Amino acid sequence: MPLAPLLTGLAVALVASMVMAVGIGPVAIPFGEVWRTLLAELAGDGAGGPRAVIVTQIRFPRVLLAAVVGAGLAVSGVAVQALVRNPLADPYILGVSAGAAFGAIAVIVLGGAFGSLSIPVAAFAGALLTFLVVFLLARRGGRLSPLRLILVGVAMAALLNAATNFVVISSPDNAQLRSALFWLLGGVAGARFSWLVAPTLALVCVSGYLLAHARTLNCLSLGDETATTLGVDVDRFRRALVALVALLVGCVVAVSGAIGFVALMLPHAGRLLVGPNHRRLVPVAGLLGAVFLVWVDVGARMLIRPAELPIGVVTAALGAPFFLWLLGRREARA
Amino acid sequence: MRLEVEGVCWSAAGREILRNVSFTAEPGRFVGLIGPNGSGKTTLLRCVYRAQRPSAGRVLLGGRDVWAVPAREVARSMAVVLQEASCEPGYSAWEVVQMGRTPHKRLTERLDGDDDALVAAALAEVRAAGLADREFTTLSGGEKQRVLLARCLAQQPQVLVLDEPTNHLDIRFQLEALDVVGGLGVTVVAALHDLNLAAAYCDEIVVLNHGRVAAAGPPAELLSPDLVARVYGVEAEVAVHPSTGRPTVTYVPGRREGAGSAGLTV
Repeated sequence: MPLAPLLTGLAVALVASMVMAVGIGPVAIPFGEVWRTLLAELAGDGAGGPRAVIVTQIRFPRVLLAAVVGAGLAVSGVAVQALVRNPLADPYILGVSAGAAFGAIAVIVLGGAFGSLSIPVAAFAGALLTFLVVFLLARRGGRLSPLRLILVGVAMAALLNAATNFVVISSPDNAQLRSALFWLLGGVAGARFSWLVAPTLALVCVSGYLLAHARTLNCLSLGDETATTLGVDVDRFRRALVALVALLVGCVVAVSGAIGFVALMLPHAGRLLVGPNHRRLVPVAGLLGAVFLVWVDVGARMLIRPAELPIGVVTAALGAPFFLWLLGRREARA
Repeated sequence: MRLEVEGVCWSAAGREILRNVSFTAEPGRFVGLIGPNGSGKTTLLRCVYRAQRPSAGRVLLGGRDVWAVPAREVARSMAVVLQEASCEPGYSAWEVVQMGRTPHKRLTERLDGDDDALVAAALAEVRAAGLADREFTTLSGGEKQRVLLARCLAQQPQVLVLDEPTNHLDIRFQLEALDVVGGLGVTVVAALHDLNLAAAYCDEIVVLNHGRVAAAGPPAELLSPDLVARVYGVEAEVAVHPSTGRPTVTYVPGRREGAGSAGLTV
């Protein structure tokens, strides 16, 4: 399938999904009204009123955040799978999300010394600190081996998860427990426009870098040695990729919690559509991830309304069967 | 382009794999690297194509130390076929050959019609044009080897490094592959198992044994029953091929010498 019509189709689907998703909720708002309200707001003459507030202040930032988070996770999944040459990897194996979770939970539960930090800032700091430790421990002899990266990341994640669970379980306050649990499972509820800035910037920068280096990413698919003989400075490229992925995932996780499976699943959905060539895969996976998470979030707020499901519950419920199917498919091929 | 290996040493876990290896491949010459398993051929080639840095000594490509210039610049003049071919599933043979154009392209530069023509010509050269749309991982060992050779041709190298390029190939494709490589007029350094192929195609042979250069020279002067016995521990007869004038090696079964086969000669 040619790339341009596919990308156009996905972009149209994304805009349509977002407008529809803004209309769906406990208070149903017709799509025409959503569209008019958004255009009026853009033009600067918003009419106001409670329905306009629901559209512009509550649902629209939430839907936008779902799209950015979905795209960010899918794109970082593509990058991580290329950089460790393992199609069953996702960015969480770098331990970044466990670090973010620990940072956020520390603020929610412990408060005190951490209380002055906002949750996203603490989560981002936790993510980057963890990434630094993983990066330093995974280096050996000046080289970054994919296997060590996975092993160190998994070990650090286990350690941080233990610490997070300890903090959560020893909290005396039930309300804190609920908000901690909600954060751990992830979600885009309560999104504000100000939360969009950092993840959007990171998404644009990292996607641009990956697209510019699509050929280099393809060369990595032939193995480190062959990539070297094709002129790729494999170690330097891998270091840059790891740092960029940590930055993007840190920004995303900081505002949405640890949403599982998107980063693992969507790259594969992209490969099923357009194959492994990164020039096509990066934009396609990103758009698919955005559309996917917009609809998953609709499910999260509609399935048990008026209550909300954490988005991580919905993605995992869809993701786990997909993962098992993928695994079976790989074994059947091997 | 000249390739010089100067006093290269390499050791792993305290074991010396290469000890002071030196040889020169003059421009346009076909140099064969032979020697028993574990003699250090692959390790030496890895030092040459910049996958591992020698612990001592230098590799000079066109007079410049390969470790002193960026990987991309080395890749513009040197192409490599590795022994083990791995590739993520999903890439077509055409896409794999296209990757040979990587070192010639700037980051955001798109492949153009000239690149496509080079890729098509490279595939045709190894008689693999029909494989272009096939998924690389579904190809047979021999087909993969030809596609990888095509990738090297698309890279337009001045030095070609091959590690066991005729592995997996049937006899016709072995000859065809070496004909193609030899006909390019570029400098070739190839690790070869088959002494007869080495004798037939190489201008010069370097014999490695226990990580050292045991002998080096043109095949006709170099290959002798004595050398084969000394390096491989195998009895062989060396004759001159009546039509090519090249040496041929015939092995005498059942009579081996050396520690490795002591049990068989009791």
